[in-house]
Amino acid sequence: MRLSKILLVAFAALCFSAPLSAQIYAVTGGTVVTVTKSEIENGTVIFENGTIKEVGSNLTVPAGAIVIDATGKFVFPGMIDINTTLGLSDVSGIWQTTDNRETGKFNSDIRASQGFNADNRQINMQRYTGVTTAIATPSAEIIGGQEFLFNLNGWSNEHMIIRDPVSMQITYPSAQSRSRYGPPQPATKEQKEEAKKNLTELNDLLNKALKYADAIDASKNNTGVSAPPVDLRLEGLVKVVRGEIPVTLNANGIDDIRKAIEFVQDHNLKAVLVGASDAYKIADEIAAAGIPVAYSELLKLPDMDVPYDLYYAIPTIFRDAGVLFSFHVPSHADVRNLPFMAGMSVPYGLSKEDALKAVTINPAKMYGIDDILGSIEVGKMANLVISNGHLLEPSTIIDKMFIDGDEVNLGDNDDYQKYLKYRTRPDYKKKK
Amino acid sequence: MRTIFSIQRITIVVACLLFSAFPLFAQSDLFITNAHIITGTGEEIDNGSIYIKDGKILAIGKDIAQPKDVTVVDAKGQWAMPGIIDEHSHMAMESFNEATSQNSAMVDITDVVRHDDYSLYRALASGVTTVHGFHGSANVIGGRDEVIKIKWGRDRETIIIENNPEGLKFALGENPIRGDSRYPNSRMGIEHILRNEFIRAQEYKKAWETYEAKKSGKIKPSNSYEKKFGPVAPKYDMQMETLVGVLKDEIRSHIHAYSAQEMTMFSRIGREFGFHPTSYEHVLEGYKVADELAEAGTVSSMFVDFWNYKVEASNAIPFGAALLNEKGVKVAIHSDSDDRVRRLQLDAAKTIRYGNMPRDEAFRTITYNAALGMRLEERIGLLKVGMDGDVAIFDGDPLSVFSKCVKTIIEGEIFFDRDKAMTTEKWIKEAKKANKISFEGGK
Repeated sequence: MRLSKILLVAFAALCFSAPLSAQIYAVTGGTVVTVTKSEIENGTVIFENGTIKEVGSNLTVPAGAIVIDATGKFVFPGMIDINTTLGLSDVSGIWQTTDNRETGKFNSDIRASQGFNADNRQINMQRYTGVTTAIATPSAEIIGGQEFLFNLNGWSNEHMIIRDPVSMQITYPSAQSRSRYGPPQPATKEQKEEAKKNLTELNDLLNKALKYADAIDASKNNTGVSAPPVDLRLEGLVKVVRGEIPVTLNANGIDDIRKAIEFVQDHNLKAVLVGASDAYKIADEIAAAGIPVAYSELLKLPDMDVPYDLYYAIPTIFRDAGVLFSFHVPSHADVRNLPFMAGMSVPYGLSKEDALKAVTINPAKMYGIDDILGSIEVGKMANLVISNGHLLEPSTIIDKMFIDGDEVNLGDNDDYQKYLKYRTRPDYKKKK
Repeated sequence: MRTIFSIQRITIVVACLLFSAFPLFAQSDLFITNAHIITGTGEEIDNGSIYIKDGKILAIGKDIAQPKDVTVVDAKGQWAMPGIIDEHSHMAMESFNEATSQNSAMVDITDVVRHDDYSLYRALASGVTTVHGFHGSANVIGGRDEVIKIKWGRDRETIIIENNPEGLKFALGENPIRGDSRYPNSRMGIEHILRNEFIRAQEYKKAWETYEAKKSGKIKPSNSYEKKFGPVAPKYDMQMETLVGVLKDEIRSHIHAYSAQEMTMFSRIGREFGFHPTSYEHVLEGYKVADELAEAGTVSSMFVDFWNYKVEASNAIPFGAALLNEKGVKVAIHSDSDDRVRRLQLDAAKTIRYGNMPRDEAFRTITYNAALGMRLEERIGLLKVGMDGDVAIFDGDPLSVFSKCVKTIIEGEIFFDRDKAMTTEKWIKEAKKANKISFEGGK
């Protein structure tokens, strides 16, 4: 009895752990688009235990490696979407399936990862076009909460979440009202006062967080100095005020963006501007401040007083000004359209290379995760997409995908399963 | 019905004669040359020419001599395809829901078209030449439709194309049952309303037929009154006139449907009342009943990848279009949106990724099949001799995300030319020249 149990455990361990931990993979023969370095024709990527070990041409394939023949195909790094509600929400019209918004104004203690459903059906559907990693965001009135970085493959949140927190969501207290449709309305006196009050509170909170962080340090470094009483809201902001993680800062109008830049500089924060509707109008100022922009308005409809292709061409304005930018899609059910959004900027002036960077290495840099993600480089996570065409083309078919070195079953999603089921439907005739 | 709409038509003709006779009868001769041509018939012509005379394609092929006195478009390195058709749209309308009744078959969207709506220009600049405008989906039986050719800059009467027969919009599923305050509140009620209204229409039709037969003496008068004074005409009813048109298959029927059972339900209604539903619209769950849709022969005019905003939209799959096509259903891809209309060719391209749709069939989803859905396939949707000279020219393969539309031609006239349009690039250059580097207006 005992022996059989041991054997069973040993067998199970062999089955489950061995292929994951020790297996070496070699992707050979394809055009490797590294993103950060030049493309390698007939290149090889070798990875083991989730990490890229070697990238180049004429590499020797290690003995025992599983060889993936990518001849005639392309090898891209997986794409990264940010500021998404993927994993937190499903059907937007049904509140029971949305777990991304919490009540409250300053929710720096709220952790989006706690609403993350590893089995949310959207995750497997949305990775189908090559998005392998995402940063999910919570929302509230001002501080939404802590964002987390996760891979779009795995069995549980423990397995899938890579960094938590990776960033903090803050909506800059705005006195400018911008409706989704129609022009912005001038703020009322009440709105202005409300915004001012909120900003004061936000500033106070960040100042307190800095003092709180210092007090914790002091208590650690000096015996006899007691730690401050635990304050979860301040605790959540410690990494933010120290510039260890960036703020995903939502600001839209010119005034708000300018004030948001001041806010970032006053508190010495790292930040990524999102929303950022008017960012293109003051791209030079944003570039000078060194703040990157996550662009999501490519599909916005231009009014009659601007060129018909304005929103397709805004990335070129960021590029010319020297703003580090990425693309992102705001809805979790559209994450799979991220590559096409980036691609659509190409005929309007952005190079293919820059468009590709804006969905891979740029978001990685913006969130300080370029040590592990965003390109095909030695030491980075093996998040790879093998396809028959360019990653940003809608008609491209993805052949294979690896996330954290594990081969992803591309057919493992509700869409594809329904497709298979109904495609192979027997010839049904009503019985008379 | 006939009288009312022919009066309208006469008005249109008179208005055209009075105000804009020249554009209407202008001799639009155009010669497109050196283009890679996607004809839509399955044939691709490399380095070909298209000769459009009097608005129609007179010749297309490889070795066509350039005629004298025509406008020449040199499309070297560029691709020409049939003008893109959006089979389902609500653009350029003052409003599109007359939902105070579950049957508003008496209203016509034609009456609320805005010819100067900027959404038309944005679509035109994306290679779209024809737009099928619908009543909304807030009630079971909506209103009559319209078809626009985006002749940007022309007046209202010119852009609405002569469109006979017309079409009627139906809506099934969540939209017409939304809200508790009116009947119906379920799909059961929707079916009941349809049956009820079609039975009324049958009775109305019969009443008129009896009246006509009595008038011509085919049926004897029913009573002494009729004998003496002649038969009494039934009360004219615009709602019923439209539905009778549907029963006779003279008016197209376009049925907004998401769930699978809604489509099979309407097909049953069609069989029961002896008419042929023209197109199902949106068709998110159509893939579940592909065989039934193929058998019904109704066009599936659908989204490829727009979904999840409500329960009935949460089971759509992006593979739906390719699957339906594979099973023999005519598939059109539409936008239903001022945004998506600008990238229908990319939605078509997605069907290759999602389900391996053959390339030429992917092209047909936004051209010929869309025309089928509007019964205009003899006029638009293909680049073929005799068809309207509607051409979209791209600077590369239109199915590539890296290409853009550079010229849009309708009936031989260039209505969009990127070289002449205000682009962001030019806009910025001009701003810089005027020393207005900032976009804030001189700051």
